[in-house]
Amino acid sequence: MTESNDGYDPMKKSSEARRTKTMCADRHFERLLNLYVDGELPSGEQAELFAHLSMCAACRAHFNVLLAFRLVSRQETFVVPPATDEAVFARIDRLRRAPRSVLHRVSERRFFGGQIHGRVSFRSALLAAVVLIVFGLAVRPNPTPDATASTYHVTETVIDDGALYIIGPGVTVEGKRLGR
Amino acid sequence: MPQSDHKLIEAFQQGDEFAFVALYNRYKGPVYAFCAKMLLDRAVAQDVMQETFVRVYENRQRLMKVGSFKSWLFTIARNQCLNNLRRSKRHTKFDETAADVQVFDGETPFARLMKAEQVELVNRFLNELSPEYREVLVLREYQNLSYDEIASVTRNTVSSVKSRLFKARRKLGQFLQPWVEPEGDHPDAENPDSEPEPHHKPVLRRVS
Ligand SMILES: [Zn+2]
Repeated sequence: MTESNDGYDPMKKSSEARRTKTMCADRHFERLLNLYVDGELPSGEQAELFAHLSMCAACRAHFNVLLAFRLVSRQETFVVPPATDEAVFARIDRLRRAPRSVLHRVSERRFFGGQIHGRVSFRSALLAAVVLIVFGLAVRPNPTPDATASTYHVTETVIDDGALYIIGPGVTVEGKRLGR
Repeated sequence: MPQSDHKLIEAFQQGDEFAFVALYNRYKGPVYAFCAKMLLDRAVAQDVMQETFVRVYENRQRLMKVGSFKSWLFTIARNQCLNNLRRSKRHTKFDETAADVQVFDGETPFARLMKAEQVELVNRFLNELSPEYREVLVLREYQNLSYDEIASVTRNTVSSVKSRLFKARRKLGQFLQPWVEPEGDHPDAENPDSEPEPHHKPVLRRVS
């Protein structure tokens, strides 16, 4: 082997890569490499892996594949569409209303007496959030729809012990619990 | 500071619906990502994610009995995905002519792909994997779950999880290596002493 053992550089390519088969024949190092990639290889065993990587082009190639895959997997974005959020809560809303046992019906009537789905402006919901966080009180924001706030989807759900604002995507603001 | 899952579950079981919404907002993205990579169809993944959270809501009284909410949640999502795959026998068809990769000097074929093409290539690979290999790879790489957590979600032993994960990665190596090695430098080359093949040109349709 002409390569030095002065540490492994995953970006370094050498003609040696052409002299090896796709996978390293030694499953021991394949296992070490997998554990290393998963952060599960004890530090005491890492030197053994690095020494092998410095000499084995197949394992280096495999390492590069695992890193490339990791990069793609961590960069892909997954944003739940607001329509899906709405569909989830609509189904849960139906669940609450569906007659089940008498016991369930009683408890649900207590907790979810009324359901109102409407729109409030993002500004007023945000203002309400700030007010509620700072002062921990009082006023429900005006539920008038605001055409200028179209990039935010705000759903107000009022249950008889509080109001809930779901601002798509992913922000939920709790309103004050109403007196009964 | 965000509340722990445990506190939210407790509040939810005592009738606090906001706690459920907080749990939903915390986990909807990861569950959606898991379903999307298992099913390789985002529209179906949205339905399955929806079903998963409805199940959570319905089974809220069982929540305290489970060790980890996250594992329990992914177990439900996983079962939904497997049921869906069984029912549909889905094998996603990818556009055979979509992405021809142009060859430039210097970079690996993989690096030359657009982000969306890299995702498509990965999806092609996942599509080739059977669900039992796909799920461990997706839970590990996309959800960053530990071996223990994956074992809990898939109802398997840790050693079986590792075995399946490492095998899935071996297949990944075979699939992706021509893309990740630089031009003509992939270790498959028939004659090790010959010059690199100058027109090695992987295209997305090479795997159908
Ligand atoms: Zn090796």
